[in-house]
Amino acid sequence: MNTKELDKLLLQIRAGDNAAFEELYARTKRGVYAFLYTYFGNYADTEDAVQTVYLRIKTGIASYQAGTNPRAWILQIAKNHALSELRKRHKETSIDEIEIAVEPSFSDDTVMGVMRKVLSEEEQQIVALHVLWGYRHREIGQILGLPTGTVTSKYKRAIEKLRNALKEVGD
Amino acid sequence: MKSWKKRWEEELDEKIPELREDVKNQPIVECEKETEKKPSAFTLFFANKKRLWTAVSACACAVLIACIAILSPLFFGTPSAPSSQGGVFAVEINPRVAFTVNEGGMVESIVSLNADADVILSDGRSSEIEGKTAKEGIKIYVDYAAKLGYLNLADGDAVRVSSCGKNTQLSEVGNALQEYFRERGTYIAVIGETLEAEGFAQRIGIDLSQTSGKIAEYINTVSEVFAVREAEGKTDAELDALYRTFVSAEEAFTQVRGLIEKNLQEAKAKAESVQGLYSFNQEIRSHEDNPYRYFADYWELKKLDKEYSDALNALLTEMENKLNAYKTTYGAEIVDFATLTRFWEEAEEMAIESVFAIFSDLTAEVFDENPSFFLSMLEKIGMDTSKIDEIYALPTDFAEYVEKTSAYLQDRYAERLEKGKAAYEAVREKISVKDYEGYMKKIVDEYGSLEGYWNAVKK
Repeated sequence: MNTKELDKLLLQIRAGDNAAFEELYARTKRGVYAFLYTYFGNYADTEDAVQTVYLRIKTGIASYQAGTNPRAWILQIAKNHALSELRKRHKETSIDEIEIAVEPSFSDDTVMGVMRKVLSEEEQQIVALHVLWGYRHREIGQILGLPTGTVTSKYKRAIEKLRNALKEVGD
Repeated sequence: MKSWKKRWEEELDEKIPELREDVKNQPIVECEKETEKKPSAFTLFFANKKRLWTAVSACACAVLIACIAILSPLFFGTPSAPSSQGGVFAVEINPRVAFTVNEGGMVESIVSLNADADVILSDGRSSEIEGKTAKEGIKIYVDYAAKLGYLNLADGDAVRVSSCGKNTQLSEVGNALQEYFRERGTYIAVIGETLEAEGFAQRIGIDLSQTSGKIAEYINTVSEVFAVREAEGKTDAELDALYRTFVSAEEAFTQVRGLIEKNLQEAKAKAESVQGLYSFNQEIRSHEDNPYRYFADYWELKKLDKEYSDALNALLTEMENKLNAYKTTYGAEIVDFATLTRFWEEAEEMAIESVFAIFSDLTAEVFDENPSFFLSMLEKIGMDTSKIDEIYALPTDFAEYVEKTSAYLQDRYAERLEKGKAAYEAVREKISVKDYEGYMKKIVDEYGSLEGYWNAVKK
């Protein structure tokens, strides 16, 4: 989905259009889900987080400024929620509890499962931002605070690792 | 065979749930129409934050006042429900930064406000600060500033921390910094100030003529890096000029000089090492216990493998150790006298002292007049001069500007870290609370106020 279309949808939502909100969900849920999954690594937490993020989009839509960066706006809400949630848990949960709290997640023969297994959190984010959100490497660099060259090389390396790992699991 | 991208999309579609009913039914919180009036202190306070969550907070807070009745309890129950307990800090030394602190009292983001702060935050150092409490985060930042020599630890200096909003942490931050300086035994005055939104915006350089929406728009897209923000929207030609404001010709030459000095020192040490080996081999050759005195050197004696005196054996062992050390340090093996002679002649040919003499008084202007002459001299001593070419090359587009600036900042960081090491690591006696307070009082007596002191030493 391109920036203009996304911007238009957000403005419709800002004007109170609930159908536009549902369309936004349909068109951005993959990107939001994959992005959040890099933080949580399991279905349950990611699903909860997805709901909260869209809830926040609704309650905070008034702050969206026309013609700015709609993808960044959504992703920042997702990122802040994920970090805040993880920090909260880190404070509240002992290390032992974290270790035993194994939630179901994507199996090892799925793309998501393989990504989780062979890519670092940063590499997963770079791949998700490029493939699902259509960000260019330069823009990803600005989001993640990395030089463009670093993003390009990390992306290439990540794709190579991903392809090799998928071959091994019988792509 | 399906592409992995297609497979990925299908897996996601299968897994992602429908929107929950409560989310679907949540009313959309519509914004009040933006007006051109000057933003209130309250909205500006939130608009001054860089991250988007804060923009969400800002609007939610504004709406909270205007339309409290339409908000559902769920809104208040979400983990990061906006409140007025977060805040913004500006920390000024010479490097200047702004922090945003979320409702949980944790640093949400840090943004550099000048080139010196870019050096401190280069290479993703902000991630060490984000997520910490305000006092921890600011302490980490100030510690980096001290390490890099931005604070005069030996003779005293000042740090000004300004905060904005209903923030109760300024005194905690101030106390933590004072404690840090007392522990390090350095008299650095910590000046704390609470500002109204307008004053704070001025301090961090936000244009107050903008509407609150436009300020939020600016902040929402801002990069953490000052040098990158300055470059946004510039043409390639303007980028060159801007790059030179960060990396001036003089500064580029300073970098080049640093490289040259480092290489010359290494070349000198290598030459001295070869010369030392040559002398030591001569000592073995002329040793009175050497059965083939003046004819057999270290390598020949080893080859003959005879019984030698303890004294001669000790020299042979020492030579072996020296040769091993040379190999480890310079990656080159000296296998016989011919090799040693060749290395020695090369060291002589380099006339390392004369190269030192030529480069010791070199200025940027002289270097610029005939760079190829100087580069050829440096190549002669084995220096890889491609790094110098990189330093002088101007960026061709924004991506390259970001890359080069980032590399430049990281180099400056490493350089300052090295230079500031001695002052930072110097052992100083801890300062008692009483002595520190006495020092602060003296400043106030002398300068009329802490602000007066700040203006005197920093402006």
